[in-house]
Amino acid sequence: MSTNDRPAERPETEERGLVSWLTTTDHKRIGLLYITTSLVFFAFAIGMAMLMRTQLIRPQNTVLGPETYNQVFTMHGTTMVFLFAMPMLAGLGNYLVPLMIGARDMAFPRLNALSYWLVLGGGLLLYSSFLFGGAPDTGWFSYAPLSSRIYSQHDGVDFWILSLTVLGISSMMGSVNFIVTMLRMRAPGMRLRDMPIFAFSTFLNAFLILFAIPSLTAALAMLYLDRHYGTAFYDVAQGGDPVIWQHLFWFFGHPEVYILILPAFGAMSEIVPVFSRKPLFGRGTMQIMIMFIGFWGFLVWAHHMFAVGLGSGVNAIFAGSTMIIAVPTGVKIFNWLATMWGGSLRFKTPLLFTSGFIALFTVGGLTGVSLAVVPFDWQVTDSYYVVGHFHNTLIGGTLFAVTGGIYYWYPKITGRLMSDRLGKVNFWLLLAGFLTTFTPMYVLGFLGMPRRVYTYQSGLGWDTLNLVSSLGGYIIASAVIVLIYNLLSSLVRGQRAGDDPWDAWTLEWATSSPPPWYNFATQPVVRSPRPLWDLKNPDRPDPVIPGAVAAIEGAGREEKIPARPVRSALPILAALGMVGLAAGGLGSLAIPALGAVFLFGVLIAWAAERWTGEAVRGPGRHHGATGILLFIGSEAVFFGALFYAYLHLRMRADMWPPSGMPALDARVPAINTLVLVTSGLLAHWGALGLRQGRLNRFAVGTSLAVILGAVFLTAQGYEYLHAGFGLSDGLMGSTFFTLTGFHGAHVAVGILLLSLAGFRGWRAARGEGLAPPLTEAWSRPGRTTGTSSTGCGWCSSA
Amino acid sequence: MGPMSAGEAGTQGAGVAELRTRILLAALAVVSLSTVAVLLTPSPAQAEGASILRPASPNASEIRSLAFYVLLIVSGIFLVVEGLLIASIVRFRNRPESEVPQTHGNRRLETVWTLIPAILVIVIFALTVNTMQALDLPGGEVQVEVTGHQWWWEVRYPGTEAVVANEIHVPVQRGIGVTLTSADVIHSFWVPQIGGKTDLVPGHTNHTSFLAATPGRYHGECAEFCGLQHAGMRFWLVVEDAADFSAWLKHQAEPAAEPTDPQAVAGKEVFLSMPCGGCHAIRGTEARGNIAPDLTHVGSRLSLAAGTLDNTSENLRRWLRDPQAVKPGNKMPTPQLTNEQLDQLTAYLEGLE
Repeated sequence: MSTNDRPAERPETEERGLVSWLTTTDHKRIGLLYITTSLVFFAFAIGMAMLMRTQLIRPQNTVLGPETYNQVFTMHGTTMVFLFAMPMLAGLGNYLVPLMIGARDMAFPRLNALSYWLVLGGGLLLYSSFLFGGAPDTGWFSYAPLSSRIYSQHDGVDFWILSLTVLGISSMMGSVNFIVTMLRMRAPGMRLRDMPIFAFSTFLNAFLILFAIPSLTAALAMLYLDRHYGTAFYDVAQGGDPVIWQHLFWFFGHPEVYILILPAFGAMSEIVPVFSRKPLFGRGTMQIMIMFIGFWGFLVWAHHMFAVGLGSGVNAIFAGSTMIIAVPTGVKIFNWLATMWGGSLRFKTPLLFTSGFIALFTVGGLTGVSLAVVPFDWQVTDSYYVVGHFHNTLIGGTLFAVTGGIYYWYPKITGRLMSDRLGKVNFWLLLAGFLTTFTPMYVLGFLGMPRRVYTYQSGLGWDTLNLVSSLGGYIIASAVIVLIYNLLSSLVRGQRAGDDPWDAWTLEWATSSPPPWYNFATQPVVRSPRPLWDLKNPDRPDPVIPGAVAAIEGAGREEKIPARPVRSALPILAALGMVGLAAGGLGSLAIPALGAVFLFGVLIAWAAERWTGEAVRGPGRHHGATGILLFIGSEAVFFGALFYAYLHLRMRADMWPPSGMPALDARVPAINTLVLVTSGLLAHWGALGLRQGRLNRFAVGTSLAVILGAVFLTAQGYEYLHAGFGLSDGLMGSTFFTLTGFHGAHVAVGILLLSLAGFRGWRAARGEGLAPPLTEAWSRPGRTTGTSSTGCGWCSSA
Repeated sequence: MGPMSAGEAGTQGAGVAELRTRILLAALAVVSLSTVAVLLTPSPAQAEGASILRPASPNASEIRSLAFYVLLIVSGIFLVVEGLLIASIVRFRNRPESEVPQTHGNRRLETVWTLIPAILVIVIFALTVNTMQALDLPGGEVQVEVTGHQWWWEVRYPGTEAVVANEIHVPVQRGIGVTLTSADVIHSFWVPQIGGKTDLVPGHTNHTSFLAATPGRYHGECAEFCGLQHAGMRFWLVVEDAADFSAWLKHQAEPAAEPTDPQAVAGKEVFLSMPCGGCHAIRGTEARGNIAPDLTHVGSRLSLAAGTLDNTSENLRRWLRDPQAVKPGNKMPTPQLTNEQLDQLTAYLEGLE
């Protein structure tokens, strides 16, 4: 294995200039864009936290009025979750995962760039609300009906809905990319479970994102329709129910907190072993526990709703399911401690932060258990106790691990070490600031201080504690300033790092710092989860992975390094079109129409672009096909969420159809379902034909599929015209048109994609160099939506 | 591949060690100062105001003991974890690397620290369910209907004419059943010393019940974010003996007293000539609005504007002069009143006892 060797002269080194960044598809540059963007938003969010703490420093303070305060706490939470933590973790993952698994790039480099530009676009869209009538002010959870039009009349909530939709789409694309990359592009010898734990947790996290975000997207869509088209989902006056929002929001929201912590667990599991000079204790157990937490995180959401009045039985079940999470979390903590135990601890900055993580995250976990104790939760929920609790997990957990990770991987990314001295100042300030800020909050919760209040009266025993907490906040801010200063100054003054400054064991340290744009000249091969340990200690290597020897037989060959990095302007243009489309939701129809036309053009160019990027791929199904399957799984959750809303409303209604509403004729939908299923089968039949080189069959199959899709849409249009009611006609109109409308939109997009696939397949078959399997991937949306979600339309009308 | 190649060099040395000590000391100083500050604040058990650790009902006492046991268990785990962390830092810092065994795990140990948390979780769950059952009080002898509004509380006593705002009176040592709903957005009903929160959800009717053990005034508040004046949505729970309660309720059910003082008589005319009655009701007059607090006995209340101000003559005048300055964003428009009218209106309203 000679992963460390590089050609004496690098072919065509890094490209420079603004355009090269705007058009980059290199996972490392995209990772850096993510990380930098997230740090800028982080600074904003910290600034807003300081504004809040300044307002609360004494009773009846008047630094911020209620209007501003509510905007600031909403933007603080939304920014920290969606514009700092998620992009930061996505950025680290982007930079590191291909390096860790020995790949040259992500599976879909252009999609990767698009994901990033959507984050930037979504963030700018959200922040532009400050310029247009005010930022959202209903909290990061934006409970209906406070967020509905009557109680929140300015456009802030619309900005929030639309930008979160954009950010959600970005996260889903990113997740598909991560999963396919890790499924298909690992170094020979490396099984999924042999990936570094950071990569492994990013892999699982991608599934969490894929299945949690659509629930939020569906809730947002219904909120948007309620606000602008008079639908009834959350509107009590029309028979709607705001509790639907809470279920859907927390079905997303609780997995979301694990989305924010799993990669942090991953970073912990990289740093602790290297700085303890021991392998991770119980690697397999750690992976099982991460998987368990990820899965189980979908079964605990109602613990956010103990005070809603769901009934003792439901509350007890969710209390139990929530407490169970404490077990795998505890095991992870003990395994990290066991990794340190008996090691040789090197207290460089990264290990300081991971030790801080163990100390503080434990408190967050334990107070989390206390919040699952239903009667105790009734007392402290929505009080400052909860604010203390989740900051213990998100600052004490995520932020400490991420900061440790930044200190750890900075030398790989920049070629220079961050100052260890400043790192220590950074750590102690952050720790002291953290304890000073958040410890008093637990006490404030006991003393009855509710969350989200812009001011409070004297005489309730809250004054001193708030003062202390605010002072602690300023210490945190100073720690962040030290961090940013260290990041910037080390770029110039940092000590040269060399390839492997920490004497680490995973593949990212096997290439230069910073890595060349092609990552590895030779594809690395892997015999154990610590490939560099094996290399450095040939006399006592780790146990060999079963089957690794056979897998790496003949691998590790020299590969041709392409002449230069591949660029594309299409991702940023597509992002522009999509954000334009979203921004159109704020008002005039001209903007979304323009955005749609523009986006359509970009998509055609995308399909037509002669793409010579990443070509390494394993045997079996094409990347695109795997990606589409994942996407369909995610869409199933979206429709599941809409369906849940429909069933919930139907069960609450006195009668169905609601009085005055016609019963729907089930014949048209039944025939239509048949049409759509046939369309899907034909598309598949055509694609199989293409694979066998039977061009005519492909042309016939695809064309018929497209035509039948159009027939379906026409019939649906007919049904709409003769329904006898409209979208804003109460529960019936809301549920019928929303479910079938979203389904119809999927069919329309499916037709578009199928046409593009036909176009690509045609060109491929004519020997123009495009990979034929791609068509098979494109044919899937037609087929699968045909069989699965047509059912929706039919059931909801029945 | 030298061990710790570049990172190791240049960070050792006497100056650095000294700096490290200094940083450590400074950090310790900050941490201990903040701890001292926390400790110096009146302990939650004695503080003024509302504390869940100073229960005034059997429910709140039950929850306090539950919290005690749960926090005891988690504190134990906390001490074990922090102890192990500190011990490993002290013992294994900078040992010679050659002494480090490359152990990959230990099934038996892992089983131990899977089972122990699992058992503790079962214990905590049992405690939880146990307390949940203990809290299930049967329906109350006295019924109260509470409706949440942005940003005040409407309180009715079924079977009587009494309509009160931002103040709930109940008899001591009786089961109290509270029916909760909302007129607009979601609110949450919380009297920390009496028990946990229950949400007021539009379209739903929630119930909670409690028994207050000792007479007194208890802070109540809205605990679910409900918009601009979430902070200004407080109330008083007044627990009094049965006779006082009956007298109070009987009085609250009566229509407003006719003013006799000339200032107050003029004030009544001001009230009725202005649009006040479109939102507020004063029973016994033609003011019958029902979207803002009923003012029939406003003079008898402890606070104004949902706990924002103590109910004094001066505060009432301040409120009437500019309600938006006192409670920004609240739904009361500023009445255009001369100073004389202001005095008259104040006299009338504070006379409505």
